[in-house]
Amino acid sequence: MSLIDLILAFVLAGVPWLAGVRLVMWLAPGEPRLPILLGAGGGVGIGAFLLALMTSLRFLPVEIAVRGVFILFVALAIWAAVELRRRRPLWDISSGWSILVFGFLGLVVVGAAMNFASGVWNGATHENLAVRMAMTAHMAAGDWPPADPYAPGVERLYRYTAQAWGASVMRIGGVGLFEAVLAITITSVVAIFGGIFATVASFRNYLFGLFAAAGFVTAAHASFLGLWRAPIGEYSASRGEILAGLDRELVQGFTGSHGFALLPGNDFTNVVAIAAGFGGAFLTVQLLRGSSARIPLAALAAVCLGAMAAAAEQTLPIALATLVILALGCAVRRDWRAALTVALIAVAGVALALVTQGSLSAIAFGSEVGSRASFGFTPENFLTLPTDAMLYSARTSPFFTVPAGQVRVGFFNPIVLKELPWVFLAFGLGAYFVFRARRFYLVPFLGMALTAFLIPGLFTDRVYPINIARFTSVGVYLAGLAAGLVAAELWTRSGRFRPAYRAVGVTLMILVMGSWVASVPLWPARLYDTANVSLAEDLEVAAFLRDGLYGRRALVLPGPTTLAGVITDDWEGQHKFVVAFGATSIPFGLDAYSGGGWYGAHYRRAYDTLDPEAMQALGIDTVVVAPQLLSADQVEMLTRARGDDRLVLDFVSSDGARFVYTYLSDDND
Amino acid sequence: MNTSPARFHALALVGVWFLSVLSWATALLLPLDWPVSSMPARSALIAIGPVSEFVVPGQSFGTPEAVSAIDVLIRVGGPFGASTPVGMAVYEDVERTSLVARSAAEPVSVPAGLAVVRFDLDTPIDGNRRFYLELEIPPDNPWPIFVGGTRDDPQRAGDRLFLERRPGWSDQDLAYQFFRRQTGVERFIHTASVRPEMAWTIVLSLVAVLGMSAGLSLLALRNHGWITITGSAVALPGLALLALLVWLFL
Repeated sequence: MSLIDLILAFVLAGVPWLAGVRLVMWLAPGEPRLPILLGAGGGVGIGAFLLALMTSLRFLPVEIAVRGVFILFVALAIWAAVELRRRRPLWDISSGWSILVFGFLGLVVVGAAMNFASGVWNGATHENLAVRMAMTAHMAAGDWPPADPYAPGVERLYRYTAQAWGASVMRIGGVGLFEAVLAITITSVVAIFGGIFATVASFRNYLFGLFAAAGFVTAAHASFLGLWRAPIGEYSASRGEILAGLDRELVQGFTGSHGFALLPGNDFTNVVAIAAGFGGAFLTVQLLRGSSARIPLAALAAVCLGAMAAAAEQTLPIALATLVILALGCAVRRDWRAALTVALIAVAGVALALVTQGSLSAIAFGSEVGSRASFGFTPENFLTLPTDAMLYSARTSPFFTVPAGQVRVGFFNPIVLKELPWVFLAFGLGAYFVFRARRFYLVPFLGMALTAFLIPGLFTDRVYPINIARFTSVGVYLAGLAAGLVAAELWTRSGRFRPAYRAVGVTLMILVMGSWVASVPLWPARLYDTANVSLAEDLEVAAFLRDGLYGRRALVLPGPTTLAGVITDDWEGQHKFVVAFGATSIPFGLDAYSGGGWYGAHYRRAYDTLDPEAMQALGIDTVVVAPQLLSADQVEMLTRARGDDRLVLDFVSSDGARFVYTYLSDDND
Repeated sequence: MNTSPARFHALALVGVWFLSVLSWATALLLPLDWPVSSMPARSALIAIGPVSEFVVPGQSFGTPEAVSAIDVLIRVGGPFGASTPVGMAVYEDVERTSLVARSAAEPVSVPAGLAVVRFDLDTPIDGNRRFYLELEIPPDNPWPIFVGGTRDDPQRAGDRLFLERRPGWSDQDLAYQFFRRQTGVERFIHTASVRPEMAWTIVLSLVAVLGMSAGLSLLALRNHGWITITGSAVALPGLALLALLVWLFL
């Protein structure tokens, strides 16, 4: 990783943003405020870029599509820079507030970058590196539509719009996987902050925008309330150990609640999707405020909605529910034209999302490969939340657990009240402001958070039940946004109870932000311990594999043979570097979204016995070995294969911790 | 007594800079015992013993960096509150050819059983080297003594428990934790040399927090001079850092 590559990646990731500023200046010509233009430009630009890229990739050769879209958006970005210089929009925020906000945003960015980097270099956190970044690397090296890195003969029925952005940055800039995905993730985090700020500030004021954005990006379970009683002494006599980062479980246990802060390290595709979504939200608000450019605004809002849905399908139902609420609101006010336009945004957004390839089009139109996502209606679970990996802070938290075997709890279960007390406070106070103070603008924001919390109680994911819990995570961030708005309302109330209102508002924000703030000193500790003890050699192997022709298929010994194994730090994590940084397939059929069963059965045979038929059926031509981790049986198996001239040593890493063999099957020997 | 605005401003200026210098100087220059290895979780502990002047518990170990104190778990089997002096000797090797450091402590019988006992070494021992330690139980000790151990701990792979100066079970080790006494500045310099990404995270987070503090100070003290505002901007994170260190280390 070089600084030049990093800068280049951020410049390329910033192109859609600046292009978005041009689009916003075009659609909101009367907007003179630079904070609004810059804030909204990110989400709008990302949404437009993603849909343009995915649509082009569907119909054009990959090189032409990527270059064409970048040329278009670079032109828009240059045009934006020229227009900004000509119009000189107004920066109307005082120095104190500007420095405070940029300092806060800087801290948010440091946290996001740290979480992302820790998930790559210090240990597995969810599927970010092993699945999503792996797909990005394969998309940058391979053809279109992308093959599944774990089932290279078939398309993976999965969302891959955000990965396509990362891959396009890699192709255009020639930068590495880490730099490209870090750049688009951080750009999206800032775009989310700016998008929420601009959306809310455009119809309220900057203070409301700041509170809403801060609530969204820092919202987390109220784990900090339990910090004083956390059994750190069970693990160490020194509380300083959690700061030193010697015990990753201790650190993760506290910092690991499912707030937005962890999202960059867990699933960067969601971050990208949410950024595009808030671009659409800004445009919809401009439309409802009576802008003259109704049709272009509605069209671009639909583009952002479609891009968001294509990048993370679970955001679509929440956005649709919000648009329905908005349309109903317009209908109640007898503004039929606005209601119809909002409904059209929803319909057009869904239609545009289906143009792109991936999970949504597979759900709608079916597919000949793999199992597409499938949902069941289960109203018997109404007003419950899934507990698995969601309601307590990280999978390995020693601090917070739910009773074993309890997969669902009711909304008002004590553990929910303990973990998310501020959500109830925000909803209660929000309802008060809606009904007593006629703050009807709060309804869509409360509605989107409520929708996210209600969905897991109404639907189940038939393929992977745990996936329905994603809605709970999104609900936490959205409730943070709503809590920020409610806190801003409390802060700006006048009258003799003003100090009391302000005290409640401050308490609410402390509950929302407390865990995030308390986790800041622990961030460096997340980078201390590494599960990848032969990291340098893993990267040597990855470089060797990447330098060859794309299309290698590897057996990794020892390594995972199931999805559960992929997201662990076992086997020194070598498989993650082979599949992601090495852009080499490991054909064991990760899950049901591709030909999992067939690949899984064959790979198991190949893994256990180097069975020639299985190796040939899978097309395995490479065997990556960590000799010091092999069992006696595996050593014997490899010795026999070398004796039979099936394995030819191609590469040995600098300290001998990794070997790469070419496997000679009947086809290629 | 009325305080003139000028006098109040002067007092505020002196106050914020005093707090600023005091908090940062304390946070950066106060020597603290930084943990440089982990203690096993309670659930992974076993009691080894009883140990005595004859059944001497020992442990071979490697140091990740220089060590100035070692925590060991000891259970004194007398009535609660009973205590006995225990010594610790660190040698170059298991043959005990050369004594490297010594320490003494007085563990107390507590209801929890195994209690953490800190042994501050009279001479810090080097990092990245192997040593052998022994606990010295006095001959006139009237109470049964147990020491905390652990089993199959990957962090202690290559280390070994000794009893009666003979190798014990190969999968068992004493439960211990190393500490290194360093100031915040020294610790940061060390961290920057071995984990630069941690140092970058610390520096960038501090810059961001200083920015927030500067913004808040500008808003709150806009009628005061730049020197006061700067002092406040520096003092706020310093006080927060000091409070954190006090909670974590004292």
